[in-house]
Amino acid sequence: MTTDPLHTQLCDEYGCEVPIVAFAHTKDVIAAVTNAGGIGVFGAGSRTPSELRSDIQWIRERVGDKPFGVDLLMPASLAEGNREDLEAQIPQPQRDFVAKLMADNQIPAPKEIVHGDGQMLKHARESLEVIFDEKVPIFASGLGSPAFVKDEAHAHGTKVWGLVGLPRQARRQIEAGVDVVIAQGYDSGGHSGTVGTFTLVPEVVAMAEGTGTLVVAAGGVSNGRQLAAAITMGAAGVWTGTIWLATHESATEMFIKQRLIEARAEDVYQSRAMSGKPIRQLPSKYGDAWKQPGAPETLQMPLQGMLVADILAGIKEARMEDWMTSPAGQSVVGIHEIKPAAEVVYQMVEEAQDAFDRIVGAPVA
Amino acid sequence: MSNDAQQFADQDVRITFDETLVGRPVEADGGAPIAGGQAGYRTTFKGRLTGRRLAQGDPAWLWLELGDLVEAPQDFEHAHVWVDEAYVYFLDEKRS
Repeated sequence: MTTDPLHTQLCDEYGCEVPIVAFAHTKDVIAAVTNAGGIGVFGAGSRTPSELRSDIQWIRERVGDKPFGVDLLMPASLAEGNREDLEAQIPQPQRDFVAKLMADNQIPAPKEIVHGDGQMLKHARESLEVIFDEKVPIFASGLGSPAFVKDEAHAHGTKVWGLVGLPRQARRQIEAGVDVVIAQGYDSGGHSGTVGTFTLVPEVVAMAEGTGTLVVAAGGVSNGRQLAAAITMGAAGVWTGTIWLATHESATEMFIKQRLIEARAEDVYQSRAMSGKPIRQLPSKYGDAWKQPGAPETLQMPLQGMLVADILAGIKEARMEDWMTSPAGQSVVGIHEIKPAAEVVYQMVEEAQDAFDRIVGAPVA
Repeated sequence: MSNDAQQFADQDVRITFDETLVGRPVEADGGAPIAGGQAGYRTTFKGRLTGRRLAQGDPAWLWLELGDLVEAPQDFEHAHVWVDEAYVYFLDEKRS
């Protein structure tokens, strides 16, 4: 009997042709990946509920009944405090440093700046209502636990996925009966956990065995060899993010795409300069400035984000390319050119098939 | 305790008190989205439960209030933090 190792339980349960999940903030990437046989998951963290509804309808018009999802950053902790009190806690040396950076480098003050209004619970709930109302096939929580809405989601035909960075989080989600746990290792972009992908995935797979929860591997995945490795470790597929930033369909700025192509795995670094928490990202003059001798310590959340909101918005508005950055994982090493998202899917599949061929010494059916 | 009226205004929140939780030592995996952006952060808290439980919306999204913080991000200025009950680990149990 010949079986295709790339046809996993994820394919059986979700109707995808290949077990490749693409996380992206550009809906064109989502449609392209889903139509190429994978599963596109739209990162909707910055979208309003009405924008999200339009996005979902746009994607559905292009993918029909094929599987896709929406990812929200559900909060996991809420600290008290109003904006005025917090702003008063920002030390003067850090204020002076940012003011000097802006003056010395002709970084303009932004025309418009968006502040959060602190109503995270309400906003998350409103976005969830849109996802369920639109009967999106997959809801993924990229931060906090999605367990509390599992039953409601299932009642609307929506599967629930949760992204974790620690084994104990995975255990809680598996016990709660979520449909898929995304085990994300240290090498991922953005705010990653502390455990490496090769360590985390097999441990979570062992926890999930016999429970009905599938495990998807994330963190540093950009090619078919890694897809084959993930399946060999017991994962039902891979969750990928950085690799899609440099596709034709991605709305990522062209100069960022070029830097993604040029970057080596060791070039993307974790910096606290944007938010006060380490975020793995492409190097930039802004990130480098905080590492120079004489630069003050970055502040903690949420003070650092409040301190640098104006300078980051000014950099973006003025399109100061050397100063702009993007979250990116160590999988940048797998980006060599800008190409269509579908081609990335096909290449990853071909590479995985080659990897399995090498293991068994014969072509995979 | 936190300033609930200001923090949770217009968010469909009910706060109750569970005496059996008071003083229990816990660790919690917290984190939140970064305002205006597409990224989030994760952080760990360690402390003792105050006994207050918050339920938001329907189905209820449950949170526990944590005080006496012995582990929190450096410069964390707050005396209390609400943490999602799903990621609270009791330290007075052998395994949570």
